[in-house]
Amino acid sequence: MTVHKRRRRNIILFSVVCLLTIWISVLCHRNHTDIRHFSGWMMFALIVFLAAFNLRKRLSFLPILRAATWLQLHIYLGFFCGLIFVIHIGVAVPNGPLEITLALLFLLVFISGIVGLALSRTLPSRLTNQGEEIIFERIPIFRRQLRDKAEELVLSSLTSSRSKMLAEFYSEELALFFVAPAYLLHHLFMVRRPLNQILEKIDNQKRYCNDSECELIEQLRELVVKTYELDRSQYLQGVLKVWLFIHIPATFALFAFIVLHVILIHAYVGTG
Amino acid sequence: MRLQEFRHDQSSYERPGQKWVCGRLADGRPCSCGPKPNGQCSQPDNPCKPQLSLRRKRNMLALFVFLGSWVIAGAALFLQNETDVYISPGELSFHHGIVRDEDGKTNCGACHDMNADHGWLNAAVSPKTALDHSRKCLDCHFLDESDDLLKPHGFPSGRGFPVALKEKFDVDVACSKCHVEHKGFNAPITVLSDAQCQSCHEKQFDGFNQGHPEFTLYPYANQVSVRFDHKQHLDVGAKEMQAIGGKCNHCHVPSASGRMMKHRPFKETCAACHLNPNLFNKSSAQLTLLKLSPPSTSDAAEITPLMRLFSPELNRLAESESADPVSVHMATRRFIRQLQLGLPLVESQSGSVRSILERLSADTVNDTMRAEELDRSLFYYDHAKATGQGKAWIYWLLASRLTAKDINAAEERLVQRFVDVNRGRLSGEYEFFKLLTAENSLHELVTAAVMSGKLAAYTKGVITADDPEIAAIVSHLKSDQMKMHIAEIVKCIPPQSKLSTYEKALKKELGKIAKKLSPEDRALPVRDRLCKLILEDRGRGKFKKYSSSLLKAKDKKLYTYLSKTKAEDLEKTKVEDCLKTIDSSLSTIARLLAIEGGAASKLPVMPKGFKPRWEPPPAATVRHRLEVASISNWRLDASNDSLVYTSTGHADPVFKAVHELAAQLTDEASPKLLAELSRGGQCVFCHQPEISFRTEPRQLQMKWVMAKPKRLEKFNHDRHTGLDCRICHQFKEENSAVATLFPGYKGSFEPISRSLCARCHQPQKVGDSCLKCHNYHPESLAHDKQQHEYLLRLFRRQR
Repeated sequence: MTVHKRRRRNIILFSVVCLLTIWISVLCHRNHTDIRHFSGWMMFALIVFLAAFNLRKRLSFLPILRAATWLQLHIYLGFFCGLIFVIHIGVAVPNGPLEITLALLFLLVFISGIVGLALSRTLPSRLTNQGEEIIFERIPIFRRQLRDKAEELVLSSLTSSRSKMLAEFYSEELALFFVAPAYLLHHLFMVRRPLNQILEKIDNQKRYCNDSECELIEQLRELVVKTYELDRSQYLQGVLKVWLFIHIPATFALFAFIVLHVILIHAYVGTG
Repeated sequence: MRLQEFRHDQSSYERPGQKWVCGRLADGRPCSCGPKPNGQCSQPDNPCKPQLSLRRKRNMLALFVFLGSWVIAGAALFLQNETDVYISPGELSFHHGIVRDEDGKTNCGACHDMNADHGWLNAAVSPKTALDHSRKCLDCHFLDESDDLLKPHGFPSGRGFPVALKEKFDVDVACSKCHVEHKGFNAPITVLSDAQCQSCHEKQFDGFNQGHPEFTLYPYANQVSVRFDHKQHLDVGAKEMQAIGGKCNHCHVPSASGRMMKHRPFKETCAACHLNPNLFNKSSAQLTLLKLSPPSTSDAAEITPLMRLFSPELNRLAESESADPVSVHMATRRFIRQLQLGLPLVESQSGSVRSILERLSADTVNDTMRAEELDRSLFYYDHAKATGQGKAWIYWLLASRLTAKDINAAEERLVQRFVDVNRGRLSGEYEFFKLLTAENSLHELVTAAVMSGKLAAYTKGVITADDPEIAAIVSHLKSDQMKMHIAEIVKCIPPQSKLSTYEKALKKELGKIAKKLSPEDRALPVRDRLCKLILEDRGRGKFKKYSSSLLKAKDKKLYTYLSKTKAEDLEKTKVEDCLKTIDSSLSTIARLLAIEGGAASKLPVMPKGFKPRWEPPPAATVRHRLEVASISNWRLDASNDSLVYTSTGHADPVFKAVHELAAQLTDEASPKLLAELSRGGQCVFCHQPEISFRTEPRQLQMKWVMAKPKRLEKFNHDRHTGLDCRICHQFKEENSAVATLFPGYKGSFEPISRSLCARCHQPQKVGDSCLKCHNYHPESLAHDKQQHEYLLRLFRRQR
């Protein structure tokens, strides 16, 4: 079964389940049946399962479905949990700071999850399409190498052409570019304008170069492109890692407030 | 240009899961070995500062946030109090949202029972939490009186309810099961679904007209309180009934809530015929409580059931086989005497007739106790003079105590009344005796002091207040308890009545004359004083002057004598004789006589040689009062020595009390006694007793008013106005004659059928939900009023 077919099947199944759940909640609402207790426990079970995905990835030796399957379940159950959240709260928006914090934490986790899903579905393809796939942890090393090469070329231009033009141009326009990554938003939205601007400057500089310098500046041009691609790779992979800095800690905080919420509900309402 | 090579010999293995990375990685020149597991650099020469890996940073952030959340939430919980809403899960509905404390803040503790030690941990695991909170609900929500308010419908446990599932009707149900709060301002917290109602009911159905049980004898399952035959009354050709013309609303009006169809007052409806002398006038009905049989007859003494009801001695005699007429006569006489003693009390406590009658019929009270009990409450009694004198002394002593510094206007009036009673100006007030009954120990102390002569000696100055007996009395009078009792009595004292024109004039004139009396003359008894005044020329002249119009009307005999007799012929004895026959005038004049300078002195100084005028009147006076029956409906019929009570009219309290007492007798005695009472055609002619299910063994009880509506049903007549009453209330086909005394008469109408109601109560019409016609909480009429008043007080306090 292809990915598309599987995805279509899963989406249809998920939609049916959601519609059924909505229908049941409407029926309960009409019958003035309070389902907050049941929906609350259901949410708790779902959140525990969703959080267990992190654990599953660590315990990869356990034969409890593949991580890819877990991921699919994580995604669909995450959306379902959002629906249950809406049913659980209903029209009674919490007005106490504790309950508002709980609700906001859940929304943070939910929205960050959706954002992460969107990122994880779009960014990898961009990384693949742009060229060479670089391991994230090695990017600083490769940047260093590119920077060293660029500096070597500039130094060689001083000796070969006996002209400072390339050196001056490098120090003015390109030095910072090779030192640290920049243009985060441009990379996120796949905008090449900064690169084009730099290349245009390089091309403009060619007019003032002699033959040897032209050759050097051409090599420099390649290094610039490579560095730009490296920066993009770093940013895109960085975003793919950083969103978890919101999603996972927020989940932990959510757990803390959920436990408190359960205790307080049973203390103030009773066990049934 | 390719940057990285993936070959085992050209590419190192990255471990993103490790904790530490080389400190020079950011610079792009990490070492090949990497940091040690403990986070130290592996290069001894020029070591770097290893950094946490990205994953490690993320995990530590997650842990920090987790712990921080617990700290923040825990701090918020422990710092909150009952008025904080940190943990409120949602807005309260309008009904509960207006509940505030004195500072205008929301008080969670008003509904949620949380103790000061944050017992929410225990409450979270306790299975009784919901029920405990439900009891807080009952602090504000007054439901009908019931022992088990948390049981389904508030019915007491053990009471089987045929409709419910067996496992459901004896289980406590928390309020929050159905009434869910914190769902928003406009949330309908009182609405229940039919499914919720049917979850406990054995028989389940789809709608009112699809499976709902048929009505059985609704709404006439119970006996009606009045045996009223509608058909008979509407068919009668009397002019009064013709005026009604079959209109139900002539007699029936909906109550304020619309739930009950009340009956207009007796005077507006039934009295037109039933008080008509030509028809059914029973207003002159009399109740012969007991009859004194002659002592010498050889016939068996008649002891009626009513006599047995009120006198245990007569009851014992009736039960014994050897009851001779003499014994019965003596026992009856004793009982009459006790009733004589108790009658003034009965007059002044018209609302306590029943209690008096009950008390007199108590088996445990013997004659002696009864007399002593009455003695403390009576105005007239024939006990020893010492007791009477003792009371006079009490008044004087109390007055002395009250003449201390802090005396207010009301207490001043009380002092004046003490003085007036002491001097015979007033005929005595009941509140004084209330004081004495409250302070039996004082009464005993004074009586003992009187008997021992100590009080007389104290008055004369022979002994001082240091004497132990006198000191005890004085100390008692000064006690806070005495002050409290006096304060209670002061409240009962009516403001000084206004004097009539005659009394004002007389007082003015007598005051002027009295000023001219010598101190010796002022010490004389009232009659002597008055005689002296009249015999004095100037006093006589004054009397004659204004007596033409005033005295003439009031004191005809005195006026006649004075006006027609010459001064020199006026004889002291004659004047005194005239005065003796005019009790009321004498008391009036005596009251108005202001001897000491025209106003009563605040100091009730006991004059030298003064003796309290506290002589018990002769028994003839009591008998005279009874026979006159000028101020009560009790009468001792001297002709046949029977105690008779005359009804005051419809709803006479004595008649009601007697019927209620009679109904409480055993099953055998009640009907017989009630039949005897009904001979005159009084109460039970219309008001039929019914069997009470609340007593064991089951007794009859008189049911004077109409039954309250059924507790679980809420038919509202107001909402059904516009319909002809006869659509629902159809006359029975068979004769509905009311014959016997206790037929269990249930009315003239056929029961209402379910199909009749189902014509309108359908889902597409007015609706057929359970709550349309049924209550979960059985309501009483008092409940709504109490709850409404409580909420009004709450609401006003918050505004």
